[in-house]
Amino acid sequence: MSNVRELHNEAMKLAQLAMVAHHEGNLEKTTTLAYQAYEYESQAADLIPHHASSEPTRSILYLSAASLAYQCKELHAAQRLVAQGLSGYPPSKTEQDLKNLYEQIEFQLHLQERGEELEDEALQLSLQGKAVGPGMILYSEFISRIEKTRSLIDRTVQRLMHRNYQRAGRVAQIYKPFTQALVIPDQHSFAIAFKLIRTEDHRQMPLFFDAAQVIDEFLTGIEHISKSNEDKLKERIPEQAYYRHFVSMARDVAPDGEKVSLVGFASTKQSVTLTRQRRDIVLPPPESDEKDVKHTPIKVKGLLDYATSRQKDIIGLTTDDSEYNVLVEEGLDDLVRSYFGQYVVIIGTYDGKNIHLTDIYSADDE
Amino acid sequence: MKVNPTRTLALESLADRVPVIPQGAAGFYKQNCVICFHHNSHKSGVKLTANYRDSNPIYEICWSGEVTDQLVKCYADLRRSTDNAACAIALLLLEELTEFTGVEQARTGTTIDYYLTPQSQDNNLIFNRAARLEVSGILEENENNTIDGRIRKKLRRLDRKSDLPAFIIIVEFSQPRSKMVKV
Repeated sequence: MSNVRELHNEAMKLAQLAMVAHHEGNLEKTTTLAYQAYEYESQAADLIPHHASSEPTRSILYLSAASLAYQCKELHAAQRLVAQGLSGYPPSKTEQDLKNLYEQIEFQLHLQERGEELEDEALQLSLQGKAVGPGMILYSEFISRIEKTRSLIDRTVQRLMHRNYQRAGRVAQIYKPFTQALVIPDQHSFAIAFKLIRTEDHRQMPLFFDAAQVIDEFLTGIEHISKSNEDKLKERIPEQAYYRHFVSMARDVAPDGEKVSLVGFASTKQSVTLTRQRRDIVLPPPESDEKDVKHTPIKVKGLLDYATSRQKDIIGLTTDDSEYNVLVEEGLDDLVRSYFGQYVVIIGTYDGKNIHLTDIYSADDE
Repeated sequence: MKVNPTRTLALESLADRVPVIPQGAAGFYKQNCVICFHHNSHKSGVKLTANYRDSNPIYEICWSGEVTDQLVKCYADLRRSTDNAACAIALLLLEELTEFTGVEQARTGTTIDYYLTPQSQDNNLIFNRAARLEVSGILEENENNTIDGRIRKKLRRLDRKSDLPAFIIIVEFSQPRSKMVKV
């Protein structure tokens, strides 16, 4: 094989066969084929002259070769290939794809170096992006994701304990078998670990799952979200309120693509990178039982507060010229609660009396 | 009224017609397609209307072989099968209706599914006149999940500052039809 097309075609052939092997569950064959594909693709990329006129072919080939190297866990080779791609004149979209891949490689390398330090009871959260520096992160980006991850873990525990979804009020101590601790950040990107510790009160009580199972359950859910497998997530979490809660909180933890471009979670057993962007995750629609009432779409911006009602499923929104009651479906409570006292955008349908909420986000994100 | 002639697309021809699908993977893509049509009670010879610009050519999708219980079990993940099947149909249609053909499946970190190149092209600078392809499949269209809705969603997601032209193709399997848009 002497020309780029022949080498590239061979690489693609092997990459497709790797995909089939993966479907068949043959992981060893998948890795071997991906490795061979990476070798052919990197040879093809190396044949392209380092000129502006070689673009976008050169950078696309390096992106492809780096992706294949990443797939077969040749992480240092993948890093070098990304660097080669970036060293040329990549068009903006390809440049962004190369940078995104670099962040994913970094995350995996970071896990390789640090993985042994994690304990079974620990879940590591890693963040990368423009809002993140070595050992430093914008406060708001961090706090928001930490709080939502904590909420996801709490609700996962309650769900595993077969507790009905509780939308408000103090959760009984019996449903809090773990307390969460934060383990010191790593200097590499911005990583911090949650540790689930059995509470003193619960040590003597039987619990039919352990911290590692909570973390597995959490990671499986995040993986389904990341791969757009909401159907599978729904099968795993049949109760609508828990399902809505998981999707809504994971949506807010997901990268925005600007300040945070990658959110990674890892346990001792597996790692999941949440690269799907927040704007691509759609919240489940509300269930309306008022078929005779006409609903019109509405989008309003205002201050979220308690002012208009004390009813547990209704919150208040004060705009410049009006006040609204916003009806919150079970499962979206934690998401809405996280925005109390803030200026938000609310999207939903209006029945002349209440807004039936379908989405909420910070007005700063408009 | 203009009558569209029917053309045939044999799923067995995937490897011969689409460079990105090698012989060893053609069976996999074919089976994904067969499962999606079978799920909707369609048999070989089912007609698919392919909308692109102002034309609506009709294609007869043909394959050989039977759907066994074993095959259904192997492709139980219908969501994934729908995506793979849509890719196979889209690549065949693209080769029929445009000068482009799929040469690379795009990998991590991008919303683009394939890179396309003109069917006759330089052997070295293979992507210098390339386009992108984004594909999506719908197993059974309903009011919340329509072809036009998916097109709108993908148009919103596609980077407007993108350097390459892009095609969006949505394939629906219950009343088999597809829609292709060039951006």
